[in-house]
Amino acid sequence: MRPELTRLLRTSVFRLALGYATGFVVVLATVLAFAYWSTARHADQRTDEMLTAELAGLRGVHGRAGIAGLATEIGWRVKDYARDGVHYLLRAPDGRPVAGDLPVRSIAAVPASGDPVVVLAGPPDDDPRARPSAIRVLGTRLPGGSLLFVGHVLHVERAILTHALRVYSVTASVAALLILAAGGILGLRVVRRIDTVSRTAGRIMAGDLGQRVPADGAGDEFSDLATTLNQMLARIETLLGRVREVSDNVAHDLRSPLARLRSNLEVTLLQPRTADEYREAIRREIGDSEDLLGTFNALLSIARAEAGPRDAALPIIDLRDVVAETAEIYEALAAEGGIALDLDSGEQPVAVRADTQLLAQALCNLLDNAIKYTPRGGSIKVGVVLSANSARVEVADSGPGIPPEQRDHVLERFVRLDQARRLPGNGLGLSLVNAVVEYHRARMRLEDNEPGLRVRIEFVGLPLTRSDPRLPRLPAGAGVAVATAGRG
Amino acid sequence: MRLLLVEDDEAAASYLVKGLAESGHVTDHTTDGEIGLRLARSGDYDVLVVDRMLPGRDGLSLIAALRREGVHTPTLILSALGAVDERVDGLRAGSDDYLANPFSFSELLARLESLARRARAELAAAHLRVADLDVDRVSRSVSRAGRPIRLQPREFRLLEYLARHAGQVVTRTMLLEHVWGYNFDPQTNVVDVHVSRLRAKIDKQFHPPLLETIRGVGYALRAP
Repeated sequence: MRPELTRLLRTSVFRLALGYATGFVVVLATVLAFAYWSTARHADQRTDEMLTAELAGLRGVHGRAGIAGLATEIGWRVKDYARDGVHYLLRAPDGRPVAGDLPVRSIAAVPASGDPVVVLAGPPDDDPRARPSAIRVLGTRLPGGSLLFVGHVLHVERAILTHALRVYSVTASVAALLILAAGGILGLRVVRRIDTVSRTAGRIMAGDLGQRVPADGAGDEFSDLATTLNQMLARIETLLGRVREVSDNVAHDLRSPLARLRSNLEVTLLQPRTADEYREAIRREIGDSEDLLGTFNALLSIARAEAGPRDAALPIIDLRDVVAETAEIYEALAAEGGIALDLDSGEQPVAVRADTQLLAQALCNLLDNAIKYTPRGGSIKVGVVLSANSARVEVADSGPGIPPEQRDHVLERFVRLDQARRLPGNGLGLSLVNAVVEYHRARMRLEDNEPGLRVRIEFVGLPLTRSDPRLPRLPAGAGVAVATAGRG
Repeated sequence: MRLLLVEDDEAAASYLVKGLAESGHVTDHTTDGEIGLRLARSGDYDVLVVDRMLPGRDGLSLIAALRREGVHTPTLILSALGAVDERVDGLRAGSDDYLANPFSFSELLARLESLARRARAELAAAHLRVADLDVDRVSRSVSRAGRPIRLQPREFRLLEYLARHAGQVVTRTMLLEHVWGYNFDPQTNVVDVHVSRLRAKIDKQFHPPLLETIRGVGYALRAP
């Protein structure tokens, strides 16, 4: 329990509650002290005014009716006002009480300052149950030497004030305790919910990537946090899965050719051969190792494209130039395979922001595939299409195409459909195209060309006008050059 | 050729020195950039081969220092960094060529020979001649044995590059780089197709054949 308590005391919520409670108590105490002091002062002032008025009145009576008249008057007033807590005392010059009901012993003389004094009076003789009470007394010396005192019992005001003070204090203490308790409960709740997240994180660190923060359906910020964390975890799991898959595939796909290379060399060494035979064997293995290096290079190109552009500003190029150049290279290859390769890139310049090398590499891969899969006598159509706010490259062949359910699959690394197994290739071509498309924040669609495959790469972006200074190299076409890739 | 190799990877350096020696070249080797700079200042080398990352002084700074001092020995940078930007940095520092790891030895050799030759004869000639083949770089016309040959623009650039390096082996990568401007290798060797088209035009009806295929390496245009 001890560490649990320590942890609770260390939670931010509890500390906050403690701070609030302390602040609350301090502020309330200050306010109460001031209220008590000012109320008491106010009550004393009113008492003093009343006593002064009484004394003045009685002095008047003394002036008119002499000491005997005053004594009589005091007798009446004692009767009338005793219940209101007002008491009187008249002393002869020799100190002998003449009239009144104030306890005599307490009041020896009129204070020199003329200020009121507070005296404690014993219980009046006629009421043995009464407790001694504090009486505020004001006195004066009358002409002739007699002393006159008027007092007012203080216990009424003071009792009310004391009671109020007690009530306030108790209320404040209860409130402070409630704040602390609420802080404690909230703190515990926070501790428990954070512990849940920590435990999940711990299990994930221990290697179980499938763990998720349990949803408690509270709908508050903690639930939101849990949801966000879970989404992040899901994303990380997907990415890690992909990385694992890629490295598995890399290991698997590169192991076989390496093993083949090795066994070929071993076989070469089995018996003595002529120098020409050795030369031939070495040449063959250099060729095999070159294929392997080609695969590594393709993987690196993909990784580089996936890392994204280092410079935000890609140069603006005419998409038609890149397409025409690659089409020209592959036209020769297509012609050798008895395939017609047609290019239609329109009349207007098509401006996109792109990395020429990467784009050309992607187009080369697409054309390479198209030629590989198109039978003799087939055709390949390459087009650049400009529309209102996008630019599109299409490569369409008349080969076997890709079944719809396989179209996402073929974008993954090392995926080769059964029909491709007999053809050379490393299964990385479309992965690279996909990475390049994502690099340019363009979109790629694989469609049915009926028959064959049509790959569409669409660059979207803001239109650029012909007068745009960013388009210095492009010839002034008839219309408006449009479409930058992604980040325009 | 007399070569200076500044390369801190001893294993790579020893196979390069051996390979270059067996190809008939003399190579001095150092692992340190400062020492490399001092050796290179002597100016007795045909080509410098400089690794990019070196102790003492890195390859780019070595080349930049040499160029500031007016030493213009042709230079090739070797680097594990193959991205386009790295290549541009290398060329901007004053290097003449850039070869990213992994490279094949024959590729390196072809490039070194091309660099050494470029230094010997600056290539401003209006006519390039290989045996009875004449390449007119001004009118961009080609003839062999006095008979004009019609070439597509790209075929002309291919032939021009081969003719400029007549007698040397030119690799497919070099052709892709200089004729098409590509820094990557397309999956299928498209260069072969274009070379065989060119060969059909310049060699088919003539004798002897001038455009030779060097197996596993590339091509060479030379008088037999």
